[in-house]
Amino acid sequence: MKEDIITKVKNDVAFEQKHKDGFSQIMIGLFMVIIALFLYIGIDSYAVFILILFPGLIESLRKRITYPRIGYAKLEDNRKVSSGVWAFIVALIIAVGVVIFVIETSNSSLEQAAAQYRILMGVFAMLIIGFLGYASIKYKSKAVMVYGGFAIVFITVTLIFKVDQSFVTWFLFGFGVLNLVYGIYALIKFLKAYPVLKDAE
Amino acid sequence: MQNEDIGSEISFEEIDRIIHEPARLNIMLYLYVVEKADFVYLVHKTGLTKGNLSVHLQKLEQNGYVEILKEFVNRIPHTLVRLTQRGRTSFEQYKENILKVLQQT
Repeated sequence: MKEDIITKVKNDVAFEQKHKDGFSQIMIGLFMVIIALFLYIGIDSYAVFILILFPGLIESLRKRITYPRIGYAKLEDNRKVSSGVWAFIVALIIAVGVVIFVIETSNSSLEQAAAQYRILMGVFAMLIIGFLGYASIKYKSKAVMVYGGFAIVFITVTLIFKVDQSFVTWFLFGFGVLNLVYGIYALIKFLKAYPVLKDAE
Repeated sequence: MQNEDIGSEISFEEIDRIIHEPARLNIMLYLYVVEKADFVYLVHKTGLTKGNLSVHLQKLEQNGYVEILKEFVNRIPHTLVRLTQRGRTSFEQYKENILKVLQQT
């Protein structure tokens, strides 16, 4: 079906305001690299709290760098449940299914500990897949499809081949660096394409 | 052959001339897809000069289609613009009418 012009403009504006500057990718990458480092030194359980700081940090960077170039637009609040929310719910249900399956198939306490670790990573990867699947459909972006592919490889290898922690650490590190590089590339492209609009109110 | 979905016929005179002007149509479209936006966003999206944009915004404000909100952020003036309910309805009506006219011709 041919896309309505209003929907197309709405999606373009949303993409420009939320993703074009590369800050989202940089933050995702940074988060994964930090998690990998925390796993490496053995304090992984606190890594998730870093997430709380990220939205404020992104907004602060956008106020200084993004909005003086492309302006600020408050996007409409779509109250109806979007396809993205459904994709997220489906991903969550699959993740819960995987969790139950792994718990049911593990026997010893050592195996159970390893399984719990894989469960945590599995849930994490599933949430990423849900988000990236939605983003790739909404913005028709090939880059997020590549990320989705990485996430699928991650969960497959982690769950099926019962890998150890070092594999997960290195995979997260690699995935994080990939996001960081792509985000920085997008930011440089953005800065070159959009100069600051001087004296604009 | 006449399309039954078209309903009542409409003439060019019924097209809203305030919105029909290309620059204002562009402004209305980019405001329609957001809740509110600042002046820089409109300069960036429409490609109009600041002076030109101000004139068109004034015209839209006089007709009650947009609301212009002035504020200060760190002592720097910041202008926010949003479509009024009347502006939103008029834009939807314009879209409907122009499609009808195009289908008729």
